[in-house]
Amino acid sequence: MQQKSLLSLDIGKTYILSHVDLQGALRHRILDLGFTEGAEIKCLFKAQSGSPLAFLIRGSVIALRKADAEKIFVL
Amino acid sequence: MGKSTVFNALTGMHQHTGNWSGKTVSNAVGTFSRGQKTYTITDIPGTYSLSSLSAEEEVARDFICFGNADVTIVVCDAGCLERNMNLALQILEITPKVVLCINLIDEAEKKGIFVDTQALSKNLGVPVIKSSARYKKGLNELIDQIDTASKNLNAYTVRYSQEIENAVNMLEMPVGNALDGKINERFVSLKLLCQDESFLASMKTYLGVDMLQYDAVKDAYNQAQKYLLEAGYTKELISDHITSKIYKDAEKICGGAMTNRKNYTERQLKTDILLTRRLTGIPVMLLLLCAVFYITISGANVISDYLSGIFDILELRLSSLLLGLGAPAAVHDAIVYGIYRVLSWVVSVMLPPMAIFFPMFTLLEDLGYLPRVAFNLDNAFYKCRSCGKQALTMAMGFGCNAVGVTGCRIIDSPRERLIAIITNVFVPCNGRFPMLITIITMFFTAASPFSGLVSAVILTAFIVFGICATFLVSFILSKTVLKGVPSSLVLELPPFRKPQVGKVIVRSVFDRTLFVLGRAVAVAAPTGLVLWLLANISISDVSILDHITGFLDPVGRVLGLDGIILTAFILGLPANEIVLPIIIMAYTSSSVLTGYDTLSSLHTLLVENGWTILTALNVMVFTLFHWPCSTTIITIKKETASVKWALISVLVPALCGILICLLNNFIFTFIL
Repeated sequence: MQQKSLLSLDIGKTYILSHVDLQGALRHRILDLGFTEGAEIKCLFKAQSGSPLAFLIRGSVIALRKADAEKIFVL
Repeated sequence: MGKSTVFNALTGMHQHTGNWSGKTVSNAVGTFSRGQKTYTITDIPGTYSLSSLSAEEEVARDFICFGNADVTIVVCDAGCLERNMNLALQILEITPKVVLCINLIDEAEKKGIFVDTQALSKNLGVPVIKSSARYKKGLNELIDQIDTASKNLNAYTVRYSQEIENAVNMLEMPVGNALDGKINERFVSLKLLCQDESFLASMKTYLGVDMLQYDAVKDAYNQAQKYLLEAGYTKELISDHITSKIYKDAEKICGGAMTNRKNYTERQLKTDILLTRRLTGIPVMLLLLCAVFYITISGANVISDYLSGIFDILELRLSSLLLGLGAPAAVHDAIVYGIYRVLSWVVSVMLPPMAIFFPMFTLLEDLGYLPRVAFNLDNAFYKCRSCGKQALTMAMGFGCNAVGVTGCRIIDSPRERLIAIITNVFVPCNGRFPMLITIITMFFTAASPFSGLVSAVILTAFIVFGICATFLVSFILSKTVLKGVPSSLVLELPPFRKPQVGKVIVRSVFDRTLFVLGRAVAVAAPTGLVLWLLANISISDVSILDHITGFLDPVGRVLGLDGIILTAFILGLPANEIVLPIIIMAYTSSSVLTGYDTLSSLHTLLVENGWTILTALNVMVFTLFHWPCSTTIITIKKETASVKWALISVLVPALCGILICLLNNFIFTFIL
């Protein structure tokens, strides 16, 4: 099955997070913010240029750049 | 989450609070008493976890782990309890002496989020209380529970997979022997398994313990790592598993103890879209900036006039008092024309804009607007190979560049942090923009019937120019001395929160007013005196001041300024507030002193001394781009731990200023 990254989420729809394909400190930080398997996630809005993007996860809004969001996947 | 708000409410202190993560970047200590007991409490920077760290989070982790606190109060946001529970569970791995303080409860209950503290407390094994620190609710209970928590011996422990638990078992005993009870051995064992270098380095610093120096620990460590690797656990997988498991437990604990309603409302979403959309995001930002300036400028005019009226009367009183006391003319002149005039100038012209601007800016900050600016500007920063959070540090620079520089701790990448530090002075601090306002009003808008509005627009344009320079210089730095590719951005957008208008105004006017007055007395008064002496002591019939300004004059002229202006910028190193007063003092020192309380007479004075539109423009440019004030330079040296970067931070803006002034001259001479 084709993996769906955070870049291609429909805005306003809730998804279930599958895995994070980032490395090092950033991976750690992202996981610590609750981007762990099974978490509900929703893309809220994007900046004018398409980056960064704002996500609702575990009750808080987190903005990520396109390049990083591309490496986080949902089910 | 409001740690600083809880701290302030308990201690009655006034730590600055803001509605965005990263507002507090260093520890603050305060005390409060209850009955016979006095409690010392330390406000630490916020952190998402104890393992993934930027510079300011390291401060927090080190205090939690090595600060030897009797009790740790974990302040959570009721609105996103699950994520905060992640941190709470990690802290419980170090110590069971914890009070969980669920703050912002009013706000959450309005959104339909209700928390069952009893259930939480039962699950976690530590006291849990609800509070709304802004409204001073729940604080008594918090203090009650501090005593309970200090005697707490057991709390909830996250249990990991069998393999990791086995590995921890292998380590716990030798680690415990090596540590001798200084810190929880299970926690250290887990950190060893995750190979958390930063934590192990801090253990060396604070406890003087290098874990892997102990043979027994080293053996057990190698054995445990080998065991885990055979079980399929790479280094990455170990910390992944630990983080996920903590979150799973957090979900379970929170799920049973709260009604799960939406923390992020439709209304918030609509506002956010308005503030970040293509057509509205940037215009709203500029309009807000312009509006803030407009209110500042028009309000400041009124207060300035009022204050200078008072100061005029006081000057006469002071003068006759001194003469009545039989003071010699030289002493009288030194005090009245030297110290008093500079001082009253700083207060009446510089203070009002600061006193108005600062609280308004604080309101925007309290509201939670600043992270949206960072969101809007991030892509531009990305293209300049730096970090969107730089927008936050720039915003802090409006208040004070030294604060902005310290604030750069929120930027994770050291390279991007240095860029933000070096370019922070491109935002005019509170000490500089009154000078910009004065010059704009005198030379560009005095004739206009909508003077205040036009000034605000010009000032906004000038600030935008500074922002563009920030982008350009960030880009150039990224291509030269600070080569590198942009890293990532992880930016939290906090929920909008109604600012406490009254409190913000009272606090910031009061804090700022006192601060600036103090600085004015400390810096402006002696400078005024020195300047008066320089102007009135002569060597071979020419005053020392004339010697200096004469020497600098050719350089100043090349820049489209003059010797006096350049001297003023140099003497203004300790505080930018005094640059303009020094210029005026120097111009008036040789001629007869006339009243210069109103802007039009000041304008006349400057024009008589050769100021043109070009001079005014170049002075403005130089105000924005010269060198940081001494406080900022010292802060930069401290933050970067390097003289080299402090020096570069002086040279870069100076060079920019010189180049732009030369360019202006060229344009005015040859093109216009």
